[in-house]
Amino acid sequence: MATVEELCGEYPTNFEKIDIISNPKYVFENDPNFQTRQLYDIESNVISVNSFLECENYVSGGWDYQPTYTSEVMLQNNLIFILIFLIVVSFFKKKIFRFK
Amino acid sequence: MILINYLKLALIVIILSLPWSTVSSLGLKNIPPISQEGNSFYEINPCDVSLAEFVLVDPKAIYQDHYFFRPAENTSISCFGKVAGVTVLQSGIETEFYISIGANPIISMLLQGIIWILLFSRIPKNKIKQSDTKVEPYTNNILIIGTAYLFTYSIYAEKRFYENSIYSFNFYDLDSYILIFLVFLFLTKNFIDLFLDRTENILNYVPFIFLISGLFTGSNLVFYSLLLVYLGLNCIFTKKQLSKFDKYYVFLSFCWLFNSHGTFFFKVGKLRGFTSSSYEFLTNLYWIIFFFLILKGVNKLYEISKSYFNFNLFVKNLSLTTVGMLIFGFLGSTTPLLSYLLFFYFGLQRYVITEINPFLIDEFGLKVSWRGLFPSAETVGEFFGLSLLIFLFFIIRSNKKIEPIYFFGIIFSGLGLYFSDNRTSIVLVFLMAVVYIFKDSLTANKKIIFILIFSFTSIFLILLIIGSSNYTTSFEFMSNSLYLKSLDYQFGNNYSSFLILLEESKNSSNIVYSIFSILSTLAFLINRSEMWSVFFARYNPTLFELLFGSGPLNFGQLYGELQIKETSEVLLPHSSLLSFMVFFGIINLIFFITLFIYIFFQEKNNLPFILLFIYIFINIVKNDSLNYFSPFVYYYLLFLIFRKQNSEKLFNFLE
Repeated sequence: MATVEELCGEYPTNFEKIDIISNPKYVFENDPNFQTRQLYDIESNVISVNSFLECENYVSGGWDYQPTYTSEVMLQNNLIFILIFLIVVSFFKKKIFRFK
Repeated sequence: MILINYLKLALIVIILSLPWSTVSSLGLKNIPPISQEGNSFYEINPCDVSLAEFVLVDPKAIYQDHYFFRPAENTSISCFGKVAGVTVLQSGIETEFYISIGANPIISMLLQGIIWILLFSRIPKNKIKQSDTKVEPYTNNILIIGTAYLFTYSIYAEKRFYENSIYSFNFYDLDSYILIFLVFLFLTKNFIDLFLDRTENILNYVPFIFLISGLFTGSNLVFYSLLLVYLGLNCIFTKKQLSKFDKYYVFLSFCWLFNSHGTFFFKVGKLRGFTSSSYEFLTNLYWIIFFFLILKGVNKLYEISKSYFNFNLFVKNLSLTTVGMLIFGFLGSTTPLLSYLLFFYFGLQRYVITEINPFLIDEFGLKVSWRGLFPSAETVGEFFGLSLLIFLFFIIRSNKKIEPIYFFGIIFSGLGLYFSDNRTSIVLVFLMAVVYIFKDSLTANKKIIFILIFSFTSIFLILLIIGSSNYTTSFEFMSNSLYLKSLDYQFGNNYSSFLILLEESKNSSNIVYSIFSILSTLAFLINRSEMWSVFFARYNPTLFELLFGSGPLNFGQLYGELQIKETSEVLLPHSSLLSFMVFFGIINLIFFITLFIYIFFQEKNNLPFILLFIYIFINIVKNDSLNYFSPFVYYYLLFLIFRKQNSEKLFNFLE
C-alpha cells in the first residue's frame, strides 16, 4: 500500500480537502496541470484520475495498490542484464573485432 | 561500408518506429476513438493501446489542433509508447483532448541517447588519427566511468525532481541506482568512442545544438553535457597543475557549499537541463562540479578542434539549422502528433508552439511572437539575428561562389527573426550590418557623412523601440520606477534584504541608490521594469551571497526563500546578468564585465568580434539566454572562435 504523495504527487499549495463522501453527486473537475494517473484497488480494478483532489479521494478510499510494481522491478532487472552485455561489448568491441 | 550505412539506417528506422507501434491484445476493431462524451475505455485499459494503434483508430488526432499528445513520465517501462490516459477539457466552445503517452525516463534516455549517438556518427571521421585528448585507454575508461558516475549522482542529488518522473524507483536505496549508472555508462562510452574518431569536425557542427536540443525526456540533463563533462574531466587529468581560475573556483565552491543552508525548490520549466531543481547541499555540490566541468569541457573542445575549424562548413551547417528550425517548428505547430515526436526525438525543453500562424498580429496591431521549436521566442530571435550577422561576415569576406544553401539560411534567419518579434535584435542586426558593409568602403570625407546618418538612424530606431508613450516620462519617475514597483510585489512585511539595502541607501542618498537609479531608467526604457522589479522583490541575499553568489545555475533560493505577491506565471529575471549576480555575486559579475571590456579593447581592430559581442552583450543584459544550455555553449564557443588570435586563421582562408 502506498501513500497519497507516492501515488498522486505532492500536495498542492492551498489544497483543501472537500467532504466528498457526504456529497454523492460531486463531479470532479479535470486539472490540465495534473498528469493523468492510474490507481488500482485490491482486485486490480483500475481507474484514471485527472486531478489531485480526485486522486487523493480515491487513494484515501483504498485505491492504493500497485500491481505493476513487481513486474516493473522484473523489467528493470532484465534491463540491467541487457545493459551489462551491451557495455561489455562496447568496452571490448575493438578486441572482439580484432579477434574476428 | 555501404552495408554498415544501410544497417545504421535500418537501426534508426526501427528505433524511430518500434516503441510506438506495439500491437495490443485488444485488436484494432475493439479500440474506440476518443470522444467528448466519455473515454472509459482508456480508463479501464491504460497502457494497452500503442500510439500507432491510437492514430490508426482516430487519424484526426494526427492533424487536428485540439488534440495534444503529452509524455506521461511517471509510468512503467511496459507502458512506454502506449496511451496511459486521456483527459478531456472544455476550452470555450472547443473540446480539447490531452492524450498522455507513456514515456518512462529510463527507456526515454536509452532510446533518445541511441538515436542521437547514431546521428552523431554521421559527422565525418578524422582524416588522421589524433592524440589531442592525451589519455591512455585505461585512463579514458576511468574518465568515462567518472562521467557516468557524476550523472548518476545528479539523479540522487535531485531526487525530489525525479520522484515525480521515474516510476517504481527507490531513491533511498543505493542499489537502485545501478540501472541508471549502467544507462549512463552505455551512452557515455559509445558517445565518447564516436567523438574520439571525429574530434576534427565537432566545432563545424555545433550550430545543430539549437535544432536538436538533446534534453532527455523526464530528466534535467542534456545529452551533450555527457561529452562536455567527459572533456572537463579529461582537461583536469591531463593538466599538471591548477590554474588561477581553478584555484579561485575551488575556493568559491567551498564558500558556496558552506553557505548552503535550508532547502528550496525551483520548477525548472523551460530551463531544464541547465538549472538546478533545488537549493540544498547535495544539489549545490552537483551543479558546482557540473558547471566547472562544462566550462572546462567547452575550452577543451575548442582546443582539440580549433585547428580544423572550417568557417565554410560551419556556415553551411548554420544554414541547415536555421532552415530546419523554421520548417520543423511550423510542421510541429500544425500537426499534434509530429509535435510530440519532435519533442521526444529533438529533446525539446518545451512543446512546439501551437500557434500555426507565425505572421499573427493581435487586436492592438502588435506582432505576436512565434518561437517554433525553441522554448523562448526572444532567445530564438537572438539566435536568428546572430546567424544573420555570421552570414553577413561570411558572404562579404568570401570570394568564393555563394551556394544556394547560404541564401536559404539568410532568408530563413530573416523570417525567424521577424517571427520571434525580437525588436532589439532586429535593430542591432540592421545597425551592425550597416557598419560592417560601409566601414571599409568609404573615403575620409564620406565617413563623416556616414557617421552622421548612422547616428541619426540609430537614435531614431532606439526611440522607436522605446515607444512614443515614454518620451514625456520624467527622469525622476524612471529612476525610481524599479524600486517602487519592487515594493508593490512585497508580501506583507516580507522585505527582501536587497530592498532594505536600497531603502537605507535612498534615505542616506549614497552611491548604491544612484547606481540603481541608472539601472531603473534603463529597465524602464527597455521594458524590463516589471520583470526586474519582481526579481529585486525576491532577491534576499546575505552579505556573502551579495558579494559571491549562492552557487552556479541555482535559482532555488531566489524563488523559494521569500514569499512575494503572486505573479501570473513564474517570471524569470529576464537578464542573464541578474541571473549571474544570483549565482556568482556582484564581485564576480563586476570582474566578468571588466574582463569583457578589457577583451573588447584588446580586440578593437577585430570588427566581426566587436559587432558579435556588442550584439550578444546587449541581448544578455535583457534576456535569459545564458540560462539555456544551447546558447551558453554556442556563445562561449563563438567567443573563442572569433577572438583575434583565433579568428585570423578563420578569415585568412577566405582571402
